[in-house]
Amino acid sequence: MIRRTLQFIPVFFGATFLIFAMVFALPGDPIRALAGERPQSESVNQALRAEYNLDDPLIVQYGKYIGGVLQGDFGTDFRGRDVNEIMKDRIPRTAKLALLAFGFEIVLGLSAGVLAGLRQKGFADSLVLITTLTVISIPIFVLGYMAQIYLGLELGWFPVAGIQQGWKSYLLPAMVLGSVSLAYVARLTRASLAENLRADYVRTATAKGLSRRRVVGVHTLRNSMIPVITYLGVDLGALMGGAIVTESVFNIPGLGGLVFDSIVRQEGTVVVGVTTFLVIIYMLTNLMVDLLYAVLDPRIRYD
Amino acid sequence: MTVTEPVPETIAASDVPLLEVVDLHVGFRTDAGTVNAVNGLNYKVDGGETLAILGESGSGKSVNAQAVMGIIDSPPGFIPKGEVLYRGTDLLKLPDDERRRIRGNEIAMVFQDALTALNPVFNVGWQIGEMFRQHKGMSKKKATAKAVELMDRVGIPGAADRVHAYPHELSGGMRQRIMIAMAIALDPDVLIADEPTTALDVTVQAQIMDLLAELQADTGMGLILITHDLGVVAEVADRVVVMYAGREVEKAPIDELFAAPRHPYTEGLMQSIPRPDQVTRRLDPIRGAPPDLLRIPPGCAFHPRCPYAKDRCRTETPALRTISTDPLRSTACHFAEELYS
Ligand SMILES: Nc1ncnc2c1ncn2[C@@H]1O[C@H](COP(=O)(O)OP(=O)(O)O)[C@@H](O)[C@H]1O
Ligand code: SF4
Ligand SMILES: [Mg+2]
Repeated sequence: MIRRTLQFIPVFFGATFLIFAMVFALPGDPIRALAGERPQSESVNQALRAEYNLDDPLIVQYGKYIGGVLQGDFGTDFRGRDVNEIMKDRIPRTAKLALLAFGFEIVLGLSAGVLAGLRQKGFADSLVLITTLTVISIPIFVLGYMAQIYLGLELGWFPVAGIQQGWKSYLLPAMVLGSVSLAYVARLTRASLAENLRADYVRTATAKGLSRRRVVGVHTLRNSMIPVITYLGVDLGALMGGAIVTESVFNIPGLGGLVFDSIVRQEGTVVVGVTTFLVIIYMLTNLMVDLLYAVLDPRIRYD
Repeated sequence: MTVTEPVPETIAASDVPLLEVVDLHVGFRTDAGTVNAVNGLNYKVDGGETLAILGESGSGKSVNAQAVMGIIDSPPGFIPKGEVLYRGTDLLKLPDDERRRIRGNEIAMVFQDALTALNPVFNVGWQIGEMFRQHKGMSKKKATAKAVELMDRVGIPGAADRVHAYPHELSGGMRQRIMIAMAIALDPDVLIADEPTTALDVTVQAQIMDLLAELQADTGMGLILITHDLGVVAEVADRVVVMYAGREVEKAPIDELFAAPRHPYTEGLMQSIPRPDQVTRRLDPIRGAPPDLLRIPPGCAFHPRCPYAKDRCRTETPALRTISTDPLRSTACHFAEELYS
């Protein structure tokens, strides 16, 4: 287990360095961009360059930056704003959106998958297969607009956009954000359950005189969940990162919108800050999944 | 109740056999057509008796066992015809919940490959204990204690330490002992062991066979040993049913079968057993492949592979019949008398 955790260290530095290098190796001088059309004195330029360590080699700049991150400081952008401060309000919004989407994914995805897997080729199965395939093949922004128009405007079940109505505002965007993952979870659960139902140990459980409910609910389900849990774990991080489109469609001021705006405005420090933060979240959720995985499947031992 | 010295039950109290299979048919509907896996099988087992069911792979031995247990995959499997009489009651006519109470309780089964037959994510004590928790309503603690007793009884050293082991942490032989412990947990009257040693090393095979024989002697249960290798069960079995294409072709007490087969298929099987007294002789497997169960040959199903086949064999299905010289044996060959006397 410890070794497993240690493995994350090089991955962490590798990933964050790549982000850092890509953003700051972009052409264009951030200091000049900051000044815009106005002329700027060389001495001010020099001072700014020193403040942001811009004359150091890239690796040294990265070292100084990541040192700060590890102490919870995501730096200051070129306008002198604290990146932590910029992210502070936005993180809970994106987290709310992602967690809610994750909740939909688990509850609905698993239920649909189990229903379909239990009676393959039955009505529920066909329904699940067709709906999930449809959801997977439609681009997410189309899904988003469709949800806004039909569920938001026409039926009026949900707020259409913005976050003025608290938790309620997040329901529709979360459904849209989670929809594709939900479809994958349903399909994965269905396939895994169907495969496990044919396994020898299921036959043994039946031969023990256990009820069908117990054979499926206790013996088969636990084994079937192993691949699904793996997917879910990777997906929680991906949901947070993948919220860009959904946040812009539904006008939610979260991390996704922040990255988008910052890229447009060439605010590298913010882009790096947010993506580094997401990498950390992603790795933490992965670590949690690995732990859970070992609990679910005793054949896995990290040593 | 403790598990010390179980008193052999008087199972064969009446003239009703403990377990009797009558004209059993099992088919599987597939895209290519109906696979006729069992085609009119008949046999009996009494308490304290060991019946070996012998046949090449694909001859319907496991499907037969699944039909007796009531665990055929259905669909695609179905039982168009036949009876499985347990103490005179046809199990095939029982409602599901009554059938379920018999499984594990009265008729239990040991599967071929314990590694896949045990659930990989639960420890072995939990899996054995489940029998007591589910059928007897025992507490978790008591059930685990029972599991330890049983593991002890099937010869697992250090049972108390291993009760929380997972299947993959045990050796093949130990795993099969766990399967056996689970099967005998509720003192079943009939135990079906489907190739219980096929997945094991030769030395371990003998140990498992000894264990089964010993348990049977203790409990007086009826034992059905399914095998494709007569050598493995020779010491243990009382009688043998030889199966071909889902039907019995010869039945005999084991010693007599060994002494002299009365069916060309049995003869072929015997020649393919390595014998210590005939080390130099080349193994002689039966030529040809087992029949396609979608299209079983008409007449005697064995005729395409039989060295003695004549015209009659291609059209007329030989019935299983006793041979005048030997009333304890029966064979399904038109020419048994000419060939074997
Ligand atoms: N679930 C199933 N679906 C289709 N065919 C099956 C199924 N189970 C068994 N069969 C067929 O039944 C035949 C007999 O199998 P089996 O009883 O396992 O043979 P064996 O004598 O080796 O135990 C095989 O040819 C197999 O193809
Ligand atoms: S009936 Fe004919 S084909 Fe069948 S075993 Fe006897 S001799 Fe061979
Ligand atoms: Mg078999």
